[in-house]
Amino acid sequence: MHLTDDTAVQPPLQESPSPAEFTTFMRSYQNMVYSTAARLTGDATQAEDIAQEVFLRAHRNFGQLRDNPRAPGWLKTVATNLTLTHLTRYRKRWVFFSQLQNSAAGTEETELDFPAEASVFDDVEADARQAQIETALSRLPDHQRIPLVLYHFEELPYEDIATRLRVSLPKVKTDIHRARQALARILARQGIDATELDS
Amino acid sequence: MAKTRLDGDRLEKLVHVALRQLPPLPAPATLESRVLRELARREALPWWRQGFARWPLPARLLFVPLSAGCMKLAFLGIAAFGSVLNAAQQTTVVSSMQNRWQALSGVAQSLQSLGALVVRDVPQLWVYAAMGLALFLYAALFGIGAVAFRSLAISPQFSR
Repeated sequence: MHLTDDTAVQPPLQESPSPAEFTTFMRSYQNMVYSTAARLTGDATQAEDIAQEVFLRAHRNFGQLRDNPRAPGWLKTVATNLTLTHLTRYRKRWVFFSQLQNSAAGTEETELDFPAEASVFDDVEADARQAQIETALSRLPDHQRIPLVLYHFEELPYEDIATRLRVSLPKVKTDIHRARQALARILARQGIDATELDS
Repeated sequence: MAKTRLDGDRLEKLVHVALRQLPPLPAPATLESRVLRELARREALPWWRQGFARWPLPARLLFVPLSAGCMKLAFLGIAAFGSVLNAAQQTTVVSSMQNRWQALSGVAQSLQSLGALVVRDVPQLWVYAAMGLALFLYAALFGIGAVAFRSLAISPQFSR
């Protein structure tokens, strides 16, 4: 999927879709669109605003999106682009301060220790664990969460992430690595062993 | 307690699997109504407040020549205003404004002379010390701002 493919669909048709038809369309994809924005921003209110804008654009292009198998990809791309545009307003601020933070944390150990006692986690249900992972993800600072989400959810390569975020490639790799460590650390504090994450 | 040590590759794989297993977050119940309400609001707008693509065809066709005409009128108006201004320079009102402007310029020149006199008579060491102090205070203020931002805005416990 090309993230710059904002205009993957043709110009809108003049006919307006019926509200019922568009509502059905929206219900099919609203969780996906909202999740994309929420995981990138880490903020429910901003994510809802962005999701609203995505569907307003979808409404303008509904003539081409209706019954189009590319519709989910288009929605995801627009949601990602709008979110990154939104976040870019604050980019200079968080890049600068995250670089300060990175240099301060440069002496951190690159490997982590986790408790290996699986019995601690036996009674942790999958739903609860997913909720904890989601919470841990949202608690990461922007400069770690955004590249992490782009890498693992949007499956963008490091180079593309660096280009999109206008930061250097080494910084992207470092931020993503530290994000994984921080995520595992937060989960370890909540009693989830990182080695159990894929269970 | 026994410890398990994870290297970067293993951690990447574990985090990837864990994140990819997450189901989509449920959208707020208000999202659908918000979108529909905004669509209805936009539909209710008069055509001239909507996007150009939604304007009626005659309006779109007329827009370009009308805009060109407005631009020509604006240029003509500016030219006319300039000629009126030239003619008005001979009147007493404009002359009095020019006199006031000259008086203000005189005051500014006097202040400039005073400043130059002070700078010449104050020891250079004092001037450099004052500049250094100003730079130090600026840097200190910037540092305090950076620390406050890092502590309050991007610390995880305050970011939610």
